Amino acid sequence: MTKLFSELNLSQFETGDILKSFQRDLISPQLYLTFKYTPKRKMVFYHLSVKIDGSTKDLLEKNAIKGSDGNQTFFIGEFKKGEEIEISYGVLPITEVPEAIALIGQTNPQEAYQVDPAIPGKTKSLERSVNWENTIKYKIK
Amino acid sequence: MKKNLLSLLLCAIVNLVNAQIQDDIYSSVVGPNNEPVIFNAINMNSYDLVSSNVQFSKDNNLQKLVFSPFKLLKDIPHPLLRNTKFNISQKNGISTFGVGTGIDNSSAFSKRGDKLFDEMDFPVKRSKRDGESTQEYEVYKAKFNYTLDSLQTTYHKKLLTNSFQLTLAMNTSLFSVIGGDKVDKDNDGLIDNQNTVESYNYSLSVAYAFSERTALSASIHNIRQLADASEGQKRVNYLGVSFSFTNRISVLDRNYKFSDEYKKSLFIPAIFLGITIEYLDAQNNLRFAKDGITRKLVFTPYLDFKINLKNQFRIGVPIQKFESISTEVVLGPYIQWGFSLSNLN
Repeated sequence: MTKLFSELNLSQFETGDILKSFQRDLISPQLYLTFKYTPKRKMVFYHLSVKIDGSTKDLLEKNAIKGSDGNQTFFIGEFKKGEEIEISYGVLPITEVPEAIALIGQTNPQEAYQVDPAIPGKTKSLERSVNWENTIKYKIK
Repeated sequence: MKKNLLSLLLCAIVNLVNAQIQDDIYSSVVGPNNEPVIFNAINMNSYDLVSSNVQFSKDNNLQKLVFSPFKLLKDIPHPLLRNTKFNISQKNGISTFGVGTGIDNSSAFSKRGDKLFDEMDFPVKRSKRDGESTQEYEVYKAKFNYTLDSLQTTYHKKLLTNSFQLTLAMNTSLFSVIGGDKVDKDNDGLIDNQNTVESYNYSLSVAYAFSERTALSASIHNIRQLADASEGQKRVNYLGVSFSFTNRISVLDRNYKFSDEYKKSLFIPAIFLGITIEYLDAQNNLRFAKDGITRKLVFTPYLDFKINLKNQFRIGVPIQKFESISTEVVLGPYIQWGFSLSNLN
C-alpha cells in the first residue's frame, strides 16, 4: 500500500513541510511486479517476498492470490535510488499456460524490464501443476 | 492403399499431438471404446484431447482415433468449438470419418470450472524466518508443496466429480472401394461398386462421471446403412441404443498420488470392471439388412487395465444375440474374446 507524507515529522512541521514531504513521496521510486499470461488460464500466486539489506518481507498474507484474466500486478514497495533488492515469487499453474512472463515496472524514473524469462520477447510455457519459482535481483534506478 | 494412408494419418496426428501442449486431459473412465461391438467405430465419448484405440477379435478389428484439435488453441474458443472432435476409424475394411461437438462441464474453462476455482483457497508460502535452520525450512517447504499439490488435484477432482459430457456426432462410413470404373465382376447384371457410402450415422451420447472411480454413459444412434456396395441395394434405417457402466475394482499403484501422471491428469493405474449393453434394430427395408440380420443385442462385460496414460488395454467378452428376418431364428448368443489397446503412443 502506498504511504504518503512518510517523512513528515509530527512533532515539528509547518505548512511548507507538508508540501515538501508530499513531493518527496512522489519522487520516491516505486516498484511493481507484473505477471502477464495467456488469458483464461488459471494461476495461483502463492509466494511473493522482497529482501533488502538482509531482511526479508513477505508481501502476501493468509491466502494466495488467484487469477485468470491474464494480468496480475503486485506493488513491491518504495525504495531509495541505488538500493539493491531481491524479489522472490512462486506461481502454481492450475491449467496449462501457453505463454507467461514476469515484468518489473519502476516509477521515478520510469523504467520497465522483462525479468523472467530474462530474454525480452521470449515467453515461458507453464505445465499444469509445475511450480514457477524464481528470485530476481534488481537495483533501483 | 487406403488402409496404409489411414494408418499414416493416424500416426501423424498422434505425433503432432505429442509435440503440442496438452491441456485439461482427464484419464477417461468413460473412453471412446465404451461401445465395444456394434457402435465402436462411431463412438466419440471421451474427455481426452486425443485417444487412439486398436481392437482385435474374430469379426471385429478396429483402428480408431478421436481427436479434439481445438483444445490446443492458446485462446480458449467457444465451448462448442473447443469440444469439437474428429473421428477417424477403420473397421473390417470400412473407413469412417466423423465430427462431433457438445458440452463438457468438467472443463476448467467452463463456468463451473470458474466457480469451483473461485470457491477454493490456497495457502501462502512464507519466507525463511530469522533463527529458523535451513533443515527446518526445507521440511516446511516440503509440507507446503504437498499441500499445494493436493489442493491442485482436489480442484481437478471436483471438476470431474458429478460431471457430464454431451456429444452430438455425425459419422460417414465408406466402402473399401471408393473410386475407379464401375464394374460387374460376377456378371450378375449389377454393378458391384455402384455405391461408395456404406452408412450415415447420427448419435447423441451422454457420459456421466460420478467420480474418478465410477462412470456411466448412454447413447442413441440412427444409422442408414447399405449391406454392400452393389447396385440395387436399399438403405436400411436402424435405431440403436447403448448403455455402459464402469467401476474401478483395483488400484495398481498405491502411491499414485505422488506421480506426475496423477498430478497432471488424475491418472490412476487401475483395473476397471464394466459392462456395456448395445442394441440395434432395423426399421425398414428389412430384406436389405446386412447379413440378413435385423436385430442385434450385445452384452459385453469387460476388464480395463489402465497401466499408464499411454498403455491401456481391455479384454471383453461380447455375448451376442442376432435375429434374422428370413429365418426368424435366433443365431446367438455366442461368445468371442475382444482385445483392445487404447491411447497408443
